[in-house]
Amino acid sequence: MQMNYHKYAVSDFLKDDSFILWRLLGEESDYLFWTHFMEEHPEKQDTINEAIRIFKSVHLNDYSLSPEKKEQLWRDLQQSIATTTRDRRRTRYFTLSAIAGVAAMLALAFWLMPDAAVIQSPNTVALVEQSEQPTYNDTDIRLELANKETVVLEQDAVIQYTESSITVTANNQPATSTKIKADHKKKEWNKLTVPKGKRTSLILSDGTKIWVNSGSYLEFPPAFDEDKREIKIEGEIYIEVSRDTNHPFRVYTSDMKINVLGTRFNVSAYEEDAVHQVVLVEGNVEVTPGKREPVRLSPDHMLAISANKIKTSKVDVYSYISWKDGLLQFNSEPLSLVLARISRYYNRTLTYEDNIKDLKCTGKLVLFDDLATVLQTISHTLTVTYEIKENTIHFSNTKNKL
Amino acid sequence: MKQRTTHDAVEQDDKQLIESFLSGNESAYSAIYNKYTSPLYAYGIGMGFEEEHIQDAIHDVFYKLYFNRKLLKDVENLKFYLFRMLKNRLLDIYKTQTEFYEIDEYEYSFSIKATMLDDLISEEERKDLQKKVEDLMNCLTDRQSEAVYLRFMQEMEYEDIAILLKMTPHATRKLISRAIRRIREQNLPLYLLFFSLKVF
Repeated sequence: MQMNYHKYAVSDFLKDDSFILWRLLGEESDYLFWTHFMEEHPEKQDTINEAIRIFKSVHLNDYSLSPEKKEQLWRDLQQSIATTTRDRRRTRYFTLSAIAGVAAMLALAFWLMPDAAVIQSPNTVALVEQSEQPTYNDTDIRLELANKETVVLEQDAVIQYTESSITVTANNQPATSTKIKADHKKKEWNKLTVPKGKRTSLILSDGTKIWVNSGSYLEFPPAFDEDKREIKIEGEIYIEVSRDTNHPFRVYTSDMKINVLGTRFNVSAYEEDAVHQVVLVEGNVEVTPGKREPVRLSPDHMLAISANKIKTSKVDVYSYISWKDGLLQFNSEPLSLVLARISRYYNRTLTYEDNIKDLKCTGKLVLFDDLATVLQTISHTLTVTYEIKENTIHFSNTKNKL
Repeated sequence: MKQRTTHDAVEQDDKQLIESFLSGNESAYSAIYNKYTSPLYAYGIGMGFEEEHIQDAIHDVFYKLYFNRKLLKDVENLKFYLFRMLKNRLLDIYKTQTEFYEIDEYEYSFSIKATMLDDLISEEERKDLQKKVEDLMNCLTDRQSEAVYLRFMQEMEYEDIAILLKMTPHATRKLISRAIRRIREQNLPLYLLFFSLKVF
């Protein structure tokens, strides 16, 4: 009882709930009680002070990192800061060089053998000197070379790209060849722009093939560095990288870095899409999303990243790469996503009622068909209907119309 | 109420650190790191996160601090500011570790463990005291524990605790006073409760 306090030794106070609560929580009422007690029992003051002193060494959740870990963490931090400082300088440089007006960049990096690249693309090819007015328009596939010349590509041509010349071979026609005044001291990269409604493919000298989907932008250097192959992309590519362990291949997008040896995979990183994906068909890639830890992906798996979220899952790979064969294959995808892909492919604006956006679509669409056929297929398979108004195609639920 | 003066001194110290860091002094940055790494780590452990994630989060907090130092300009309380960054970052990491498409609510937990220097009293007494302190705290809910920890161990203001707990300051005061009442009612002999009542 209270009376006993005057007989308490230091160790008794340290066992007393009231004393402990006073020291722990420092509440007004405890404070009053104990000052009152000490006034009445001045002879206990020293004992209580000693107990207070000892109690001060009691800590709640007094965890700390070991000195080694703290030191390691500090080194990692310095490393990240140094890397970002370097990258920021580089980003500023690229932003300047691409100021021509291309929205954002997805960067894919390849290391190539330092000689040739072949570009395959639809029908005819025009070489345009860009010194005066650019003569291309927004619907052309165009390759802007590091020296500022622009090549406009149409159907099924093959462009052989080397360090000193560019050779164009259209179907059944003799090759035409043009000298490029390359200046490798400048670190300019070649830029390939594929507008909505167009697709192209590219064969690099190391045998690496890249299919570039509609509405994408690709940058690659005129000559690859001696130790690595790098490209940057925004949009979607399917790529089959030739195996060359001495020249690692790296693909950069706005929010990830993909490290490759020899492999086949698809990258989808359109700026307007909330979710960016890497789908691995074969081989081995390591994806570093932003500043996060690298993620190793196994074949038949997809890594999907969006703001703050990362997920890997097993997928039907062909659904993701079928576009390169002129097919869109869907496996239980929401209609909103299907329409977004068709919209990019045909460069038409597609809108839809909110109540049908989550309709699940499974099946194949042949993209060589004209758009009307594709639209009919969709409206027949799903219970939806569409209306064409000028440039916009609007989808709604069939039931609403009945 | 305890150690108000040291608290003020610490605040003063932090203001100088911030100022110095804002003016480009890199050693102020490492001083902040050295001072707050362990408290941040302890806070993360208290909330029940994995050690690895806590280390990542601490990395990210200081990384962000380095490149966004302007944000510190109006910071009144550096410790609170860092605690809040850490907690947000840990919750983000927690979300990325769970399902991708749906954001699960973080399952709240907060535990309190007592430790003390071991050469002041005998081993047995030390263990008894630690256990006693933990028992006192164990009657609290997770949120109460976190609030009490922030209030009495980290000496934070109610307004700051409120932000960390995503509550209003008023609700935070209530939460803490209820927590204290609970501890007292469960542990104090009756006459002391009466004494408290008489005082008010």
